[in-house]
Amino acid sequence: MSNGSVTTHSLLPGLKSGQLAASGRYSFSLIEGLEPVIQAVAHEYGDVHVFLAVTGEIAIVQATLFPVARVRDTARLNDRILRTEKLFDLASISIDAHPDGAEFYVIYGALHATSGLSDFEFEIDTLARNAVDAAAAYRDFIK
Amino acid sequence: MSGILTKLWTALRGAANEAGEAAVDANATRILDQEIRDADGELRDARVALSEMMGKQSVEQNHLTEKRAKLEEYAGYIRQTLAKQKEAQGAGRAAEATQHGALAQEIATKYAEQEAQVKASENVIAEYGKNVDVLKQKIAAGEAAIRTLKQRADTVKAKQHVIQASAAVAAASSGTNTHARSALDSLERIERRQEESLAQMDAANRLAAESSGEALEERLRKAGIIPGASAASDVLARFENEAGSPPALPPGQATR
Repeated sequence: MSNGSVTTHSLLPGLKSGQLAASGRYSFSLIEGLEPVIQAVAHEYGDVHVFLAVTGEIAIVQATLFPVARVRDTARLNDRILRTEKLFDLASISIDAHPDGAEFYVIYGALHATSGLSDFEFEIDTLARNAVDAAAAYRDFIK
Repeated sequence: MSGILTKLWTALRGAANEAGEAAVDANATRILDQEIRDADGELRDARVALSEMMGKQSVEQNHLTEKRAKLEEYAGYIRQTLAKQKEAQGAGRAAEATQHGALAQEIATKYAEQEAQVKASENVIAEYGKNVDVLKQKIAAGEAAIRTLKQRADTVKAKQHVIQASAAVAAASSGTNTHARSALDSLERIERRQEESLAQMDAANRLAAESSGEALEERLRKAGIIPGASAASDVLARFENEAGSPPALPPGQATR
C-alpha cells in the first residue's frame, strides 16, 4: 500500500507468522464477508474472540463483552463503566448492535493503519486481556 | 465536530427510545458521508475560485507591466521635450520653447493619468493577492477537515465491519457449544478450567496419598486403632501425677 498503510488482507500473513501465533497463544483467521475481518482467538484468555478490521486510515480491534439484554441495570452499569473505563489501557467501551438489532457491550481500541505489526500484536494482546478483565469487573451487573 | 453531533442529535430526536438510539451508527455513517461530500464540494469550489483568482492576478500583472512601460515611455518624452525646451530657450528661440513647454505639459497630464492607472492596477493585484491567501487557507482547512471526517467515517465503518463479523461468527455457530466467544463466556471458561485443574490436583493428591498407604493409616488412627500422637491433656495428666505422689524411684534405691 502507499504511505505504509496496511489493509485487513495485507496484515493477516504477518499476524499468522508473528510472535503471538508462533508462541501458540493466538490463532488467526480471516472472516470473509462484505468486508474482510481478521478473527484472533486468544487461547490463554479463555479463547476470547478478538476481531480486527482496517478501513482506510483506521484499524479497529474489538471484542464482545456481553449482551445488553443480560445486564440487570444498564444505567448503573453505564455509570460504573464511565468511572472505571480508564483502568483499561488502550481500550474504550461502547454499545454496538448486530445487524439483527441485538445489542452488545464491546471493548475496542483504534490504531492508525500505518502502525507496525508489533503495534497490532500489542493492541490485540492488550485487548484480549482487558476484555476478560472487564467482564470480571462488571460481572456483578449480569443476570 | 459539533456540527456533526448536532445533526446526529437532530436525526435522533423524537426517537428517544432504544430503537432510535441503535440508529446512531447508521445515522453517523450517513451524516459523515454527507459531510465529506459537502466538504469535498466546498474544497472543489475553493480550488476553482483560487485558480480563477490567480488567473485574474496574472492577467492584471501583465496589464501592470504594460502600464509601467507606457509610464516609462511618457517619462522619456517629458525628459526629451524639456531638454528641447531648454535648448530652444538657450538658443533664444522663444516661440519654439513655448511650443515644447506646452507639449511637455500635455505629456505630463498623460503621465499623471497613467500613474493613477498603475497605482489602481497595483491595488487590484494586492486585493487579488489577499483573496488568494484567504482561499489557500480555506483549502488547507478544508483538506484537514476532510481528513478528520474520513478518519471518523473509517472508525465507524471499521466498527461496523467487526460487529458484522462477530454476528456472522455467532450465527454460523449458533446452537453449538462453540458460539462466538464473548469476554463473559471466556471468563467463565477460564474459571471452569481453573476449577477443573484444582479438582484434578486434588484428585491427584488423594491418589498419591492413598497409594503410599497414608490414607489407611490416617483412617486407623482416627478410629483409635493405631495410637495417635500424645494429646496435650495426656501430657498434663502425667505431670499432675508427679506432683501428687513421691517420685517413683527405681526399686534398687528404695531399700537403702
